[in-house]
Amino acid sequence: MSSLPRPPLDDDAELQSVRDALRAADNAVDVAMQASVLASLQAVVEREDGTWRGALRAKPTTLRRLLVLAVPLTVVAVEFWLHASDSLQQAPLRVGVSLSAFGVSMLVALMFSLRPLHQAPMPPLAQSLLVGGPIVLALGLSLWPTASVQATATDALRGAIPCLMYGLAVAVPVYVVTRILDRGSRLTGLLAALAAGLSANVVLMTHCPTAGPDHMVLGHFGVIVGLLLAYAAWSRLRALRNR
Amino acid sequence: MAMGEQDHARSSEAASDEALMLLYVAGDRTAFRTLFDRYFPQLMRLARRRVSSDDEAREIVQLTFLHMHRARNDFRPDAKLRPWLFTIAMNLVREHYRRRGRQRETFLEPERLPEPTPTDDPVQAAETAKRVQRALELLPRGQREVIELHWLSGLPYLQVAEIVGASEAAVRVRAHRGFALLRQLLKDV
Repeated sequence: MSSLPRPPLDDDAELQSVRDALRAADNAVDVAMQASVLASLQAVVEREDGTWRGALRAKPTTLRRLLVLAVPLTVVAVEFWLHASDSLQQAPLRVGVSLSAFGVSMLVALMFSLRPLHQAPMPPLAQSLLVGGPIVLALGLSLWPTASVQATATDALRGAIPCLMYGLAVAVPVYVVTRILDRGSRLTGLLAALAAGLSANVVLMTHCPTAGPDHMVLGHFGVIVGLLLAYAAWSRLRALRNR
Repeated sequence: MAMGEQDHARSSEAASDEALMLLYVAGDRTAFRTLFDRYFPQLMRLARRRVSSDDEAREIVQLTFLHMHRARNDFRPDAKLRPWLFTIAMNLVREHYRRRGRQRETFLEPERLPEPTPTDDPVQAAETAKRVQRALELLPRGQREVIELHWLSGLPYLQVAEIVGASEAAVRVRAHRGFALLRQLLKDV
């Protein structure tokens, strides 16, 4: 410890007297306010403990993470069993790389979406990478050039809609389960939406044989965009209502 | 209050934070009450220094205890409760600023602040406190957090490092720079 810089406060009489003044002004904590916070807190805790959501949220974080992983992994396992061999045979490199990338991104996003608040904050750069990285990666993988070409933009859109719908049908339950288990914070909501979108992309990679970039961007990547936009709109509405 | 309850309350008050937390995890509501009474004033002071009104500070402190309750099963027997609780509070303060869009990440130029003088007069002490508070608000966020947690809340550097998610050496460097700047601001440079 001796090599660490010694901040100049401990022996500084002038700063200490300033601190004493600040502490003296701080000391008046209202007893009535303390009692009222305790009463309102006890009411919230009692209400929450009586619900199944409250019970789930109070589970240890490791268990909450395993529970939230169970939903997409079950769907992926079923899809893989039913369809993976077809997709992998058509384009083993593209499907293999995409599945690995989406799978790892999904796992990371799901793990961080349940990060508890008693852990130290992540640096802003790490937070940006955690959200931005998988989005850029998913877009890049969707634009992977293939021999498959859609005749027109209308055909691409028509072909993308079933994938978009199926992707949302997978993503929404993942998002809902994650939010049920989430103890509530700003970044975790965003990550839950992203993780749900990535889960849908993992499932769609095994389910859908179409590989053209138009289809991939609209039908697969579109699920992530749709969820993030819906989350942003919902957050904005909630903020306006609270104001 | 029955004799047994009185003994229980007395032993609760004497118990360590960690022992109380473990009792609370096991279902002892009295332990929560003791922890609340112990930490409410400290957390309220911390929150008041960071937000603009008592109502906002009160909301942050209430949420801190609510998150403590929700996360109680994550508490490890070998962990220290104080940094655990302060980390929750500081994370909630940061979220509060992000929600309000008032987070100031950039360093502001020092403005002229009258030099505080030590005094026994409560009115003057309150005035001094206001000046120091203004000076603290001018510090970059990382330095301010470290100074508030160590200097004003009395947490050791190791616990401050745990709360802000940095190494102890980095925290000491921030404190060193922060104090130099704070002194400069208070001396009306």
